[in-house]
Amino acid sequence: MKIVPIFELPNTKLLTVKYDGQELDALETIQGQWSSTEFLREFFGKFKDDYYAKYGRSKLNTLVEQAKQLADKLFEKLYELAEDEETDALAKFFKPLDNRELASELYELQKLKAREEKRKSYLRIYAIRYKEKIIITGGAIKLTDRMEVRPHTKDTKDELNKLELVKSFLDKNNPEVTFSYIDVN
Amino acid sequence: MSAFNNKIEEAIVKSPVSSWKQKVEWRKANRGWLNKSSAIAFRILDALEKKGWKKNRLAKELGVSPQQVSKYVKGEENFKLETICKLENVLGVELVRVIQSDEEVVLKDK
Repeated sequence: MKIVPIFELPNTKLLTVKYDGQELDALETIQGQWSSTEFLREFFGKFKDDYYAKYGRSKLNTLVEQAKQLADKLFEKLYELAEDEETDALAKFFKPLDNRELASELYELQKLKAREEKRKSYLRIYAIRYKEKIIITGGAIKLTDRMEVRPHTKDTKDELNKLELVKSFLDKNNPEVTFSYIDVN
Repeated sequence: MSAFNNKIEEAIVKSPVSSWKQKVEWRKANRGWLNKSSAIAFRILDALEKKGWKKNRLAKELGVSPQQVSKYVKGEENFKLETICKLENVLGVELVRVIQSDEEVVLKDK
């Protein structure tokens, strides 16, 4: 696993992860999926009933175009916040993954999520807080309220695993990941 | 660079920068035609489904690589009119229509 900067140094407010064996980093991966007509058409074709249950019926091509627009907006917001080196707006944009935690409760290696604050905001970006930086671990299209309840949430289960993996990787107190540290180059 | 005080942070400094930022800028600058490209991609995928064809079959029919067809259906291809015509002929569907001066668009009821 490698930690990859998003902006040119010295701006390291926003980082992401490149998992072993993957050609793209985690942020490039979700960007590729959420801008792909083929990927989104297949996804919503498979899980449209979950979408309808939550947001009402819509034509498949409308769902695909809407998801692309939401993704573009979300990424542009992330870009704008990460570019701003003067404020902590980026840190505030990411909320605790655990809904029981207060938004103001910030701590090291905290699992985080980001979404657009709109009704149809089913796109999620997941991250870990690390030394005042945000490290993106992945993202998912979340059409149900909980991460574990439906078969299509396999993606979100994978995302939970990635969060745990990256957290362990960053946790220097964990003796098991000391070896990974050496391997990081 | 005092903020970088462990091996992970040293590795960040050495790592190449992600291409995500450039892609965000590119999509923002090219939104107009990207929307049209995505609509065409959707029509191609619909046509493939109706014909029961895989992307490889379309690649063969068009005489292009499967990678090229993957680009078409991603919705980020800046299609030439020549390519559109070839796709229309092979798939048997109209992908792009130019409205004549004596025509108007009427949407079907849902």
